[in-house]
Amino acid sequence: MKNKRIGTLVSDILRWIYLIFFVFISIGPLLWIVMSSFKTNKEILSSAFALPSNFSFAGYEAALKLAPIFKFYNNSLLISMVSTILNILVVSMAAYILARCRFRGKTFLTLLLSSSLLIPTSSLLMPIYIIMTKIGLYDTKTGLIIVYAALGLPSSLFIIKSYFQSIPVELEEAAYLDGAGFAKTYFLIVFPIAKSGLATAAILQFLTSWNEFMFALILTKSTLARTLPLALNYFTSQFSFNYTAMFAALAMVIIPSILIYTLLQEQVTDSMVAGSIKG
Amino acid sequence: MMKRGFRKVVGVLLIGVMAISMLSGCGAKNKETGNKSNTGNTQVSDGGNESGKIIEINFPTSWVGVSSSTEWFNDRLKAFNEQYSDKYKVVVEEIAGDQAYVDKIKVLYSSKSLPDVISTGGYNLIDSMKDQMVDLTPYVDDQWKKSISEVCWDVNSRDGSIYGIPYSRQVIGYFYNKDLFEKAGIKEPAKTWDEFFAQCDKLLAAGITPVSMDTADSGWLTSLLLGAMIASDDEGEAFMNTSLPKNYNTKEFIDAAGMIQKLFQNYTTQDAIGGKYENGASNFFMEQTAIIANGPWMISDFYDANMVEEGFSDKIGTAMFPGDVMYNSGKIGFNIASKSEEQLKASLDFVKFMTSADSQLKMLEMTGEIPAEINVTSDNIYPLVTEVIENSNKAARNINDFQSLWYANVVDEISIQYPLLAQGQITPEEFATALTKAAEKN
Repeated sequence: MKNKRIGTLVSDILRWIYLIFFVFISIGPLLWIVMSSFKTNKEILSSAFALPSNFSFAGYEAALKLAPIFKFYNNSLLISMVSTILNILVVSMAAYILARCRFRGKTFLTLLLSSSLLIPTSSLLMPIYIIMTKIGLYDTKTGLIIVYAALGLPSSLFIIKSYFQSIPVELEEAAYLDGAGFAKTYFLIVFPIAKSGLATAAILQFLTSWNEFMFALILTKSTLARTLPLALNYFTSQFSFNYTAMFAALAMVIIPSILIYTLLQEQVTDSMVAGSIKG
Repeated sequence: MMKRGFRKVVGVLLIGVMAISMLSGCGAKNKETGNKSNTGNTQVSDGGNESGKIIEINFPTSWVGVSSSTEWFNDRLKAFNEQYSDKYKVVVEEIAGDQAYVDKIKVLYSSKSLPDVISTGGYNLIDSMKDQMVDLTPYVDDQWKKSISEVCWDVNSRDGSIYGIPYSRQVIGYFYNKDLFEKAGIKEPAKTWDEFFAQCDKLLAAGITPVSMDTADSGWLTSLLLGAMIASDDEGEAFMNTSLPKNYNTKEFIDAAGMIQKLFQNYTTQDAIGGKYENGASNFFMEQTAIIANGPWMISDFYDANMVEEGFSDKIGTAMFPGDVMYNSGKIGFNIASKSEEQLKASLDFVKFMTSADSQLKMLEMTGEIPAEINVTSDNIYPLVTEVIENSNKAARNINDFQSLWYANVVDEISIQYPLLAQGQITPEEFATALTKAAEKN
């Protein structure tokens, strides 16, 4: 009896150590960024892990003064959200067809769409830059939205198609029997059921668009279309740096990612579980 | 049945209208801003429109944010706009970050759409892009040529043709912490490299890490030491004044690489491997290292209470590298890639303004960068800047910096090879061979 109690105690302690460790490595860096944003450069350089001597918002003021953060913030939000909606809407329809319908060349088409995962992003820069300048979408939010929606195509397709395949066909057959057409069945029956899979793909797509740097640099030239990752470069150059402002900007940049994940985490978990059971 | 078909048609039409309105809504900006070039536009620093034709000059710059030249550039841009308000408007593209700047220019070059004016802040893009740059030789008269230090024209010229208009000189030695030197019993900076290493030993014995070094971003701090070590004799000095060398398997280079390996392994901080300039500078600011090689643009930080303890600047001394070696060379200046005569004239006027004696004087006073024009001096500068200039006048050996001289891919290769050299995974000979192989690819 006593041995059993000791065993339970040890397993509890191990479980807590394990949980605390993961909480620490997940939240630790975020807390460190927020904490550093209140310190002076000197404090960051001399004692990186100490608490700030006083909570000064000078870093946030400097960040807003040095870089057009709010403008870039708005652009990032708009571009990331619209590219995510566009990606999910278009890719989910393609994924549904590829998951449900039988037609000649289906495998080839699936492989073709997925194969873009294998193309290095750097090799896409030049052709996409030329296309965007030729069609007049250089330095526009639309240009970035389209490029981001397309960049996320293979991963979204893979996730959503797998999820659709896990939904029983009988549900759709029942909808057809009740008189629903193809589009109605898709939008009113399949789409809501697949929301976990769609949310997973949406989160990945949003984060890809939110964090993307190279295309934002190459395909834009004005503050009217530029996004937040470019703003972070305003705080370090070859021979000068302002860490306080950089951490303040970073703190502002990471908030949406955390919010989106927190709001949609239930769907993501559901999707992972569904995937694990039904393959 | 008819009704359902009608709904479908309406649905499709609605989706189409939504898609078109979204595209045109977001994409209309270019028309509104009236951009003529296919490279779009950005913050327009404009003037009036009295003559009816104002020429746009496209100028991407990394002089934004915390860059030490931001204030100077904004001041000069404002002055240019005031002076030429009826003729030109400068379309400034802000590209924060030096590497991001170079990356974007490379893509623009590949698609044959270089902007009118380029200023890389020291990176040598002339060799890889001169076919799209304008040969400026016919536009530089004798008087202009004579007013500027010859070394500045040298670094901006290829085969007798001028591709860059200089505005600044690279005058670089090293800074040392006088307090830490005194603690270690060192009276004055070393005259030879043997003495330098002996001083490093003394500093170590006093519990002080001797040198700030780095490996990332071409290892600027480390490479300055490497170049100075190479230039210890006549052959080495000649090497450090040779443009685009292809053979690094020389005795001077290998000996210098050996000394750098020794410094990495015994006399620098742990964060040097993989570290950037910021790490090295931070260690020097925090008095954790006693020596840092760099140019006078760093001096303003010695007085910045946000970076260093009060009175830090009083502890700093300036020195030539052992053997009285100094970097005393030109810096890559403004390049022009305009495609029409009209654009070229506008770009030339802009570049002339940005590189004028007045602009150089302001640059010296605001950033501490040494002017390219010989006669530009000021009393309104930090005393340490004056010391650096005096050192450069006394130097026995004057050399050029690696970023201006060596192939761009060799400069990139350094960051890959330094960590290996530092950890003893390659020998100095192998380090030299790796750079030679990289150079041979050109």
